[in-house]
Amino acid sequence: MGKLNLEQLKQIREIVKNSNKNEILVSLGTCGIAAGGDKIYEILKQEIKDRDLENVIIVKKTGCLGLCFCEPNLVINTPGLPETVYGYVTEDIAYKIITEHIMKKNIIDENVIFIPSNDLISFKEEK
Amino acid sequence: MNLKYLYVWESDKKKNLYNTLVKKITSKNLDDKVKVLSTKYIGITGKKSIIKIMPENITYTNFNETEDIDKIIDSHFINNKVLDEFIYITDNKFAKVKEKDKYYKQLRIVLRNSGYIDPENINDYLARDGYKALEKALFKMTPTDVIEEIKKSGLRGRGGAGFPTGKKWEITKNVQSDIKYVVCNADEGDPGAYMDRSVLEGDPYSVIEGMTICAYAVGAQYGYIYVRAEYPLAIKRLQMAIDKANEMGLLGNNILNTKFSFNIEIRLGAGAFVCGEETALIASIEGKRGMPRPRPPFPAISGLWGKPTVINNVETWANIPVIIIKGSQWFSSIGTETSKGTKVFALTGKIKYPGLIEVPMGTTIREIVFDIGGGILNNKKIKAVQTGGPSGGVIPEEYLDLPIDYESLQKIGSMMGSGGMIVMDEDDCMIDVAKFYLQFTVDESCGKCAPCRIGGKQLLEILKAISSGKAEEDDITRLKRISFAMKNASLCGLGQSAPNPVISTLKYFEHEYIEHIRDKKCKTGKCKDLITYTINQEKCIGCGACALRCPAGAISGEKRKPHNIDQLKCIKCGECYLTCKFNAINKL
Repeated sequence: MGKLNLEQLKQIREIVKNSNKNEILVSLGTCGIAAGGDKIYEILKQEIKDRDLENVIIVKKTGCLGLCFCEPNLVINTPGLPETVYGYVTEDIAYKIITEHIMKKNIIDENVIFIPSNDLISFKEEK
Repeated sequence: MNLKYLYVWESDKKKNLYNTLVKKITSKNLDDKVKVLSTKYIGITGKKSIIKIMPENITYTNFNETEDIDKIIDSHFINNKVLDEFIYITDNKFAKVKEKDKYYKQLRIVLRNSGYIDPENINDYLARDGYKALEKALFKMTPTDVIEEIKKSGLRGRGGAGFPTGKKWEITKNVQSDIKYVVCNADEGDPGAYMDRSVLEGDPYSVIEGMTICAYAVGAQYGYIYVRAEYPLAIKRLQMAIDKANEMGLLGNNILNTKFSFNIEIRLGAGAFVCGEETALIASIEGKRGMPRPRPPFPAISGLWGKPTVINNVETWANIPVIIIKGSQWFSSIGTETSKGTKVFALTGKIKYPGLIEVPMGTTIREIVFDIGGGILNNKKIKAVQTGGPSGGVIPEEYLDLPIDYESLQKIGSMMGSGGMIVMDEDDCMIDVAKFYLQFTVDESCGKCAPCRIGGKQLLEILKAISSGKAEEDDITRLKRISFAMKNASLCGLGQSAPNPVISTLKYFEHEYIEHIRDKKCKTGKCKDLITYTINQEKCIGCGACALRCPAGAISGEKRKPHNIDQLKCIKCGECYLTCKFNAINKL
C-alpha cells in the first residue's frame, strides 16, 4: 500500500469493515502476556493449523480489555452468535472454543465474562 | 433459529438461582428457545443476583429469586416484552450520561478499541472508524474550528492537573513561530498506574491520530512521544504504528495528499519519575539532564528548544478523535459541571475484581469500589482509597460517596492524578502507606531544589521513627511544618505534591499516628518494629514446626513441651505465625 488520498482511505475503510469471518481476539498487552495469554495464543494457532482451519478462523493479538482479574481473556466473533468475551481461559477452554463455540455454535458455560460498558464501536456523528 | 442466552451471576457459589432457572425453562418448554448459562462477571456486581439476556443485552436485577422468576421468564421469553420493573439502571446522580449508557456503570471512550483491534494492523483501526476524525479535521474544518471544538468540549488534561486542553492549544496556536512541537507524555511512573501503557499497547493509532489533529490545529510540524523505556511492548507497537501511518500517507509529508505535514518520533525515558513533569520532560528530550525549571514561561509558549510546544498525556490524546467526530456537545454532555467526559482508572489493591476501568466523571468512589470492583477481598472492611499516586492522598470511608472530578478530589486533599486507584482494607497501616510513597518521592527527587531534597528526606526519617516506636508527639507538628514548607517552596509539581500522602493520612487518620507514637502499637501489624511475637504456653503442643521454619533460630524448646521465642534474636518475619496450626503464636 502506498500513500493514500482521501478517496482511497474511504475505500479501504469500507473493505475492511465488511469482513464476516470467525475471529478470536487474544488480549495480549503486557498484562495478558504475563498471565499466560501468549501460550493460549500459540495453542489456538497450532490447533487451527492442525485442523486445517486457517482460512476459516482468524486469531489476532490485541491489547488490554481492562479485565485484569480474569486473564487470559479472549473475544470471539462468529456469525450466528453474539460477540462473546471469555475470561479465565485455560488450555482446555481454548480447545473448546474452537470445537464447541465456533464449530458447533455452543457457548461454553461458566467462562463468559461481560464488558461493563456500552462501547463506542462505530461512532456516528451526533447532532 | 434464534436462540436466546440467559446469563446468571450470583454473589455466592451455590448456584441456587442457576438451578432454579434451568428447571423453570425446562418446565415451560423453552429449552429450544433459551439457554441458561452461568457467568463469573456480568459487568456489574452487587449483593443481589443479576441476570443478563443476550443478544438483546438486557440486565435484570433486584428481583425476588423465587417469586419474580416466573414473571420475568413469561414476560421476556413468552410474551416478548421487556420487564421495566427489574431492569438495571445505574442510579448515578452526579455523572450525566446519555440515555443508552444508563444501563452501564462504565463508558469507554479512551478504551474504545483496546482489546478489540490488533494494534499491529492499521486495517483494524480503520474498520472501527479510525482516521475519520483526521479526515473531518483536514477537509471540513479550519484549525480554528478544531480548537473551538476542543475548547467547547470542556476536555481537561488527563495527566492529573486538569488544565483545559483547548486553551493550551489556543495559546500555542497564537504564538508566532516558524517551528512548533506536539508532545505526548507517556512517562507513566506512578506506582499502581498502568492506564497509559494499556492505551499505547492496545490502541496506539488513536494517540497518533489525536496528535496529528492537534498539529494541524496549532500549526506544528514535529511531534515526540516520550515513553519510558520500561514499556518495551508499548514502544514496539507504537513504532510499528508510526511506520505504517507514514507508509500510508496518514503521517509524514503531505498527509492525505494535502499540504499539511507532520512527523512523529519516539523518545525513550530512562526511568526518572520527575521526567513526567513537563519541563523536565522537555529537558530530557533535548538531551539534557531531566530536571524541571521554573514556570512561566509555560511550554505552550516556550517549550522544546524554546519553541511553542503542546504537551498532553496519552489519555488526553486518545480522547481527541472521538470529540472531533461526535462533537463537543456530545462530549460535554457527559460528566459533571467542571469536569467533562470520562476518566480511566487502574483499580487495584484489596479488591475482588481489579482492572482497568473507564467511568464518566462524577461517578462516586463507592460505585467504583463496590459496583464495578465487587467490594473488598475476603469481606473485610474498607479503610481508604488512594488516588493520584505519590502526589495524591488517601480518601477515607466517609467520603466514598463523593462524585469524582478534579475539584472534588482536590477539596478533600487528594487529586485526580494520572488515575491509579488503590483500595485499602482494615489490614493496611496508614503510616506504612505514607512511608511507602515518601520513600518513592525521596528516591525520585532530582535534588535541584532544597525543599524537596531535604524536606522529603526529613519527612521520611520522621515517618520511619514513628513506625519503629522512636517518635515523640512533637513529631506530628514537625511533619505538618515540613509539609507546608515543601508545598509552598518546591520548584515543581513533584516536590509540591510529595507531602500530600502525609498531609492526607494525618488529616483523616491522626489517631493512628498517635497510637503509634504514644502506645507504640500498630494495630494492623504492618510496622514490624512495633510487633512482638510470643507463644501461648497453653496452646503450644511442642510440635516444633515453628522452630524449623524460624530463619533466625529464635525459637527453642523441648519436644512435646511449649516452646519460647527469644525476643533478642527474633527478626519479626512472621513465619512462625503463618506456620503454627494451633493458633499458639500471639502477634501483639
